[in-house]
Amino acid sequence: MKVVRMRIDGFRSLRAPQTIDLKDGRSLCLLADNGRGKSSVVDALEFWSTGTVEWVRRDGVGLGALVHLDADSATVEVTTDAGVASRTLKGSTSGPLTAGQGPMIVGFAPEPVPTLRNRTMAAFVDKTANDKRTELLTMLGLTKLVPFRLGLRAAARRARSELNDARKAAEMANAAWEQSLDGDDVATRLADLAAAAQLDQRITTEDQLLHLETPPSASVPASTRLAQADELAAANDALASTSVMAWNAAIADRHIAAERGLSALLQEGQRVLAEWEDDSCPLCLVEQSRAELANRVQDRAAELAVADARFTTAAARAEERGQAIARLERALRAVIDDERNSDWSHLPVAQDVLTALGLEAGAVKTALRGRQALNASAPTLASEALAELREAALRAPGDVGPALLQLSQLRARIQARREADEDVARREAITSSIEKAAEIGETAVRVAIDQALSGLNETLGSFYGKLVGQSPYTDVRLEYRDARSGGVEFSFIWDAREEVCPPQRVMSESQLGALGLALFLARLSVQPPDWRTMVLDDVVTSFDVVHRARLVRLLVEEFPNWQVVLCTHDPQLSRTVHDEAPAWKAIKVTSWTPTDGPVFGESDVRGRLRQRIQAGEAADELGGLARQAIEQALERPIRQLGLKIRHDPTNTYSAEEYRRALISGLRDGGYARADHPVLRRLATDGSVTNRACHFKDHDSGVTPADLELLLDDLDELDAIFYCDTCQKRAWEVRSHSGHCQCSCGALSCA
Amino acid sequence: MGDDEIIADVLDSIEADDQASLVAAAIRAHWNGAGFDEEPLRAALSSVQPPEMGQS
Repeated sequence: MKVVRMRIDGFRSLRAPQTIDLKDGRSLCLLADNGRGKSSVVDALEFWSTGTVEWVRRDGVGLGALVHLDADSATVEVTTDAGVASRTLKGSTSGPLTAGQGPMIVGFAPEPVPTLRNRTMAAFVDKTANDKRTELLTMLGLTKLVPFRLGLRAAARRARSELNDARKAAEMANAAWEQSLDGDDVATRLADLAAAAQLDQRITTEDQLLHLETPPSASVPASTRLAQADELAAANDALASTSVMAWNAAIADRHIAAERGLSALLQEGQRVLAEWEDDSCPLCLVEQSRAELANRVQDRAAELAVADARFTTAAARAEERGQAIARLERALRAVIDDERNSDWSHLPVAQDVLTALGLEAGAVKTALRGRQALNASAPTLASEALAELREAALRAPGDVGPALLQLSQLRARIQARREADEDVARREAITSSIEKAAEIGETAVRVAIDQALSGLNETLGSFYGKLVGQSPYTDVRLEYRDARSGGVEFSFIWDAREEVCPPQRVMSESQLGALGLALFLARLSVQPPDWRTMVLDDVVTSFDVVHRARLVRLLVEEFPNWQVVLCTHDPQLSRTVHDEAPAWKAIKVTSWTPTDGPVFGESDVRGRLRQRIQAGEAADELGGLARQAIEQALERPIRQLGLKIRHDPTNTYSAEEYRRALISGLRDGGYARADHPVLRRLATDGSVTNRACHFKDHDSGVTPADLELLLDDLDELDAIFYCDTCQKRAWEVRSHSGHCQCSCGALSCA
Repeated sequence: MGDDEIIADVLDSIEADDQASLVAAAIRAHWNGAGFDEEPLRAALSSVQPPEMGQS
């Protein structure tokens, strides 16, 4: 798809309607001084194809900033080879925008016209490796690889961290077990305790202890039964230190998530409403804002879902806590019932414990029902009372309770140690599996991105070479680097010696600019969009003459079927385009006023002069155009052949000065056609054009026929530098030493 | 080849690998097309049982 015609009215600095015709999708070189409307044309094309302009979106100034200060509305109408479409903004920056016409795309849905501006080129080169990766992978259609890779890496990290925690827990369980043996070996320790507990069976191994059936409760003293209560008390402690904190954290989490979600939604809604009031293209904005709003609502919903999941887990644990307390209550009640008729002095204490547990159970129920925080002190009361009972049991003389209690504790530690070891083994297997999965993912992602980049790199290196010619940088490419966070960065070999990355280490601004430009063009070449139009806005600012010429040659050779819109303030680049790409249309901003903006003039001066003569305009009206034509025709061979002309800092020469310099240069150079008669006739032509310029009242005596003779002479001037046989111009057969010689010898000089 | 196809291939490779296959199902189940569902993936990985432990 190419642009055939643009009509811009009231847009940015283009107050007066302007039309740019690019018949058959011709390329265009738009020449204008700084601040004379080039970027307005580029912005108009961007606005037309996207509905906004990048800097408007970035700075949040509103679309009204695109309407000329003195205009009521702005319209951009573009005709392409696929159809015609227009966008209109109504309003101005001085007041609120009225309802805009909105996009009226007829026949096709445009996508952004590929555009490279000087600032975006530099910005890309300066981006971080991560941002470069994001932009390039988006372009290559590989955006999902990054979260996939990062997700696997995060899972592997988390598994490794949990494995480390499990290993620490196992170490602690083992240390506790060793400590409980008190320096004895297992067999001795267990045998001693079994004897002290007056057990019938012999116990010398861990497995025997694990399978030991504890004596029935009716046949053991109260203190032994209290050992069971002691275990429950330990469970109570564990629950108190975990479930209360987890429950309270989940409650707080849920509140925070709910508040953040609601306030964010409120803020977002207010922002969207404010934008609707400020801007005039509501259809675009509504869709955009609705999409943004939907994303944000989705994010808040996800936060709430996570908080809810945590809450559910905590609630389940709190529920378990309530059940554990109930079990504790039942066990204690059994003990109290058994000892009700005995002289056990600690019955009142046991009753207190029961009461404390009852209160705690009530507190848990209330918290669950009302989603309130739990008080961490209630289980402490129960724990303290249970500890008192345990101490009393230990103090009972001649009792087998302490030995049974210690056996019970040893058994619990064996179980804890074995469970911790099993947990380590399980986590080692999981960690090794997820790390292997992450490694497979890492390799696959690297290969995929490398493959995608290699296609781009081949073209990037070639284009960069064509842009810079001889340089100390070779093997220029983009590399995916997974060592850190998986960024993409430029890399190259410097001076055939050392790999350099990032390029800023050694490259100058112009070399970096060439790199950005080469990448932009390589992207278009490797993955061409639907458009066959590209816009280059002031991208050669830091290039010297040779590099500018190389760019134009690269565009002509590598993008022959593309339409290039090249905007520049540099007349020399414009002349290079004229020489290297004669088929391109050239437009120059001939005048500019703040109120009306630029006036575009086509630089085919001779063609326009001929048209206006044929249209019957008076010769005295055409003096300026005629003078421009003769100056242009004489200046070109001087420049192309490198002939001398006296220095004028303002670079303004008359036609006669050009003519004399040309004759003198050709004679000095021994050019075969240095004395061609047309060079003398041009002196008369110059006088005639001067008269036409200075007599505006139709009394100069110059006629249209005189100007037609001038045009014939200019064509003849072109001809003396052209060999019909070799079909070459003199400057095309000029050697580095300045010697001109075509194959047949017609164009020759010393 | 697009990113969806690449990721599908990677998941197949993980599943086919002796060492990594243990967690393949958890990873496959929690890749939502644009990222990993972190908490459920974590829970799923925690509940994975190595074959020999599951058998015992």
